[in-house]
Amino acid sequence: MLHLKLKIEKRLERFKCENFLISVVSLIISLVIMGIFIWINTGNFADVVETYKELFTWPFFPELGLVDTILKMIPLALIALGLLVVFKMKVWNIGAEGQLYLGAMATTWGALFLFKNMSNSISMITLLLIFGAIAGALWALIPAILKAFLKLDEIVTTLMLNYIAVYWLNYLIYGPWKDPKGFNFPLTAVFPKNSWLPELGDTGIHIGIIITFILVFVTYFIMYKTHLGFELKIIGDNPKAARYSGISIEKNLIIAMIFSGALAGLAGSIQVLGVQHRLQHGFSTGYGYTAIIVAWLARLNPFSAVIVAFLFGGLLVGGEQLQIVMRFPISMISALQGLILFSLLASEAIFKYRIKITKNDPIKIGGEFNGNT
Amino acid sequence: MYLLELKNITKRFPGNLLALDNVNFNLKPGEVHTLLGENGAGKTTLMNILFGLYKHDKGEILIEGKKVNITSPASAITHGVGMVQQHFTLVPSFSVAENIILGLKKTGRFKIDLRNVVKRIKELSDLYNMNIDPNAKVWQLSVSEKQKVEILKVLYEEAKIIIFDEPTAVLTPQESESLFQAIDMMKNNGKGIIFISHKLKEVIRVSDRVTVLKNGRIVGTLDKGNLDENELAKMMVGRDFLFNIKKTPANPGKEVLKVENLVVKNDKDILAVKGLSLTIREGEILGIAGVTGNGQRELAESIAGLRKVENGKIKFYNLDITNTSVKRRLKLGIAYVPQDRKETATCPNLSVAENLFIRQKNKVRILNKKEMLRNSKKLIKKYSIIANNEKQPIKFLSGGNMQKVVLAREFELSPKLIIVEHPTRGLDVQAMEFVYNSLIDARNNGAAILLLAGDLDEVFTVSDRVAIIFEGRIMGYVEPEQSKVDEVGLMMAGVALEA
Repeated sequence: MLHLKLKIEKRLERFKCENFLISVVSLIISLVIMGIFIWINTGNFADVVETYKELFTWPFFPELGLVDTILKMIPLALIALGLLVVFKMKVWNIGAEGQLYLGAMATTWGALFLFKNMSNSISMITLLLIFGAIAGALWALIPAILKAFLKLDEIVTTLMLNYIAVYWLNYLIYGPWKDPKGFNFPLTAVFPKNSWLPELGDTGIHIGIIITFILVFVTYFIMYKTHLGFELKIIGDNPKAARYSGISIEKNLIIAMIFSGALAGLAGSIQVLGVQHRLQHGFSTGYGYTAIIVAWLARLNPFSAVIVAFLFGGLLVGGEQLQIVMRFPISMISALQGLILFSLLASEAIFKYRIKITKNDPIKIGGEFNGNT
Repeated sequence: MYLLELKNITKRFPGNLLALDNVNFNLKPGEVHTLLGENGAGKTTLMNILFGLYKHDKGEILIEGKKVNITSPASAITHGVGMVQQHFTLVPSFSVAENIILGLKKTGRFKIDLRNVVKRIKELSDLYNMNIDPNAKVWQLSVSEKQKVEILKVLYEEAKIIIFDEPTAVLTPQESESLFQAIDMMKNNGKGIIFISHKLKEVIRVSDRVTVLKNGRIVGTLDKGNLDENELAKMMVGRDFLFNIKKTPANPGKEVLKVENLVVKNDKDILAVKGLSLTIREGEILGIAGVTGNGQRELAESIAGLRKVENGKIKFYNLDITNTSVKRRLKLGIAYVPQDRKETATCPNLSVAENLFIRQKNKVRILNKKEMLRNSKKLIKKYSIIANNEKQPIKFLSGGNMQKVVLAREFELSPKLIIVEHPTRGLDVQAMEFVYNSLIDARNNGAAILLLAGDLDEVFTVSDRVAIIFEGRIMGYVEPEQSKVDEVGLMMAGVALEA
C-alpha cells in the first residue's frame, strides 16, 4: 500500500527576484480575472483584447496619453514615497488622501489670499509648496500623536480624517472660496499666473517631476543610509527589540508620519499649482488610496515606487480612455486596482508556503489523508 | 486501567527543535498528576498536543485504553478532555452562562434553552463551592472568578480529564487554596487532573504524583509519599553533566552595581521584585539561582532599563540610574543579554550584520554600511558564528549561533556591567562552554556580571558568589561549591536558613 500525502509547509529559503516575481504574477492574475469580468459583461471576447490593447498602448505613447500618465505619476509617486517610510515601521497611514487635500487647501489659501500679490514667481511657488507640505504634515501629526500617546489605532483615525478633509474642502469651494465668476460651479478662482509651476520646455509636464525625482533620492537616502531609516526597519521588524535597543518608537512614529504627511501635502500642492491652477471638486481621483497600492507593489523600495507609480498613472489614463472608447464605467479601473492589491497580498501569503508530496511514513499521524490503493 | 496514556510522544518544531522526546505520561481516574518543569521544558507543548492544538510527530494517545485521534480542541472535548487555559478566553459583555455554552453544540439547534443551562451551572457552582452567579456579566468578575468560569465551562462539558495550565499564576495565596480545594473535590468525584506548575510548594500540596520534565524529556516521576521540595528543585534544574572550566579566583574591584530595596511589577501588574538589594563589583560574577518566575526577569529588565522601577534605587558606580533611558545605560556601558533571543534580543528578518549593530553606545546619524559589514565579518570570525554570510537573515541561524550574535554584540560594547539571563537555554555543550568562557573572560577583564540562570549547575560553574532568589527577595548567599547544592535547593523552595 502506498500512501501519498500532501503537506503544506513554510518555505525557509527565498529565491532570487522573489519580490519582483510576486508583483508580476499578481498583476497577471488580476488582469486575467478582470478579463473574465469584461468577457462576461460584454459577452464578446474580442472586447477583452480590445480593452487591454487600449489600456496598454494609449497611456504610454507620446502622441497619445503619455503626458497625462506622467502628470498622474507625479502625485502617486510622491505620496507613495512618504507612505513607504511609515509602512516600513508597520504603521498604516491610510490618510494620505486627506493629507493631500490639506496640502491643496493650504496652497490655495496662500495663492488666492495670503501671497496673491507676490511678484517673484520663484519665491511664491517655493512658499506655496512649503505651505502645502506643512499642512499635510500637520494633518498626519494628529493621528501620529493619538497613536503615540493614547495608543489609538492609526488606521481608523487616518481614514476618518480623510472624510473631514474632503468635507472641509467641499465647504470651502461650495462656500467662501467659490469663484464669483465661476457660474456657480464648485471651484475657486484661477490662481495668479505667478504661482503656476513652470513647464519643462513645451512638453506640458511641469517641474513637479524634478521635485519627485529629487525626493526619490532623499527617501532612498533616509531609508537606507541613515540611522533613522535603520531604526524604522528595526521597529517594523520587532518593536520589542527596538525598545531593547533604546529606540523611541513614539519619536520615530511622529517623524515618519510627518514625513509621510508632508509628501502627501506636497503632492496636493503640486497638483493644484501644476495641473488645475485652481482648487476644484474632485481634484484628486483617489491618489492617496492608489498610492497605498503603489507603495506596496513597489515593495517599499523608492525607485520601484516611481516605476509602479508610472504604470498606475498609465492605468488611470487608460481607464479614462476606456470610458470613451469602450464606454466602461470608471469603477472598472478601481475594481482592477483592488484586484491587483488582493492578488498581491494573496500571492505573498501563498509564496511563503510550498506543497510537498511525501510518501506516508508507517506511523500514521492523525488521519488527515486516507488514501486507498 | 489508566484514564489517559500518552505513549512515546515526540514533537519537533520547525528549525529542528526537539520539543518533546519520547515522552510517556499516564493518569488514573481520581488522581492529580502534576507536570513540573522550567519554562520551555515542554509541559505546555505536551498539553497542547493532548488538547488538539498541536499535532505530534510520533507516539499515540490512549483514553480509557482506546487509541484516539485528537485533531482539534473540539475533538478533545468530545473525548472528555478539558483545559483551563492560562489566558482566559471569555467574552466580557456576555453573561457567565452565555460564555459557558459558547461554541457548544449540545444546546439545541435554533433555540438556546438558557434556563436549563443556568440551572446546571448553579448546581456545578454549588457542588464545588464556587459561588458564581450564572447571570453575572463576565466583565464584572474578578480574575479568580473568571478562572472559576473557565473551570465551570470545562465541568459543564463533562470533561473526565481536566488540564490546569499554571492556574495559580494569577491568584493570591488564599484564592489558590480555594482552587486546590475545588481540585480535591473534582478528584474525589473521579476526574483525572493534570496540573501544570513550576511552584514547588503548591505542587506538593495538590499532587498525587509528580512527573518532572526537562528539555523535552522526562526526568522522573515521584509519588505522593516521596515528594520533597529540595529533591524536586534539583530534578527541575539539575544537569548530570559538569563542565570543567578553568576559573581563576575572582579579584573584585570597585563596586559597579548597587541595587537598593528594589520593587518592580511584572506584566500582570503584580509585584514581582519585593524590596531586593544586591551589589556587584568589578571582576566579579554574581549568580542568581532560583526557580523561574521568582522575579529574575523583572530584576534583569529593571537594571537594563526596560521595566519601570516602582520603588528603590539602582546605582551604577554610585550614579543613580533608576528609571533612566535604555540609551543612557548603553552609553554608560550596561550590556544585557535577555532570555528570549528571538522575541527581544534580535530582529528576525534583519541580517546578522544588522543585528550585530542594533544596540550601539554612540548613535551615528549616517550609516557606514561598508564598515558595518567589515565589522560583522570580523565578529563572525571572532565568535565563530556559523552563518552563510553576514547578510543572511538571523532567523535562519540555529539557536546557538543566534545567541552568539547577541553575545558578540553585547560584549563588543565593552561593557562595565553585563546582565545575562538564561544564556545557554537550548544550546549544545560546545556552545555552552563557549558562553561560560566568554563570561569568565569578560570578568577577568574587569566587567561586573549579573548571571540569572535557570540551571543550578550553570550558576555553580560560572559564579563567584551565588544569591538565591525566592518570591522577589534574596534568601541568602552561598559559595559556589558543589557541597552547597542541598542548601541552595532549600532556599530556592523558600526555606530560610539560619545563619
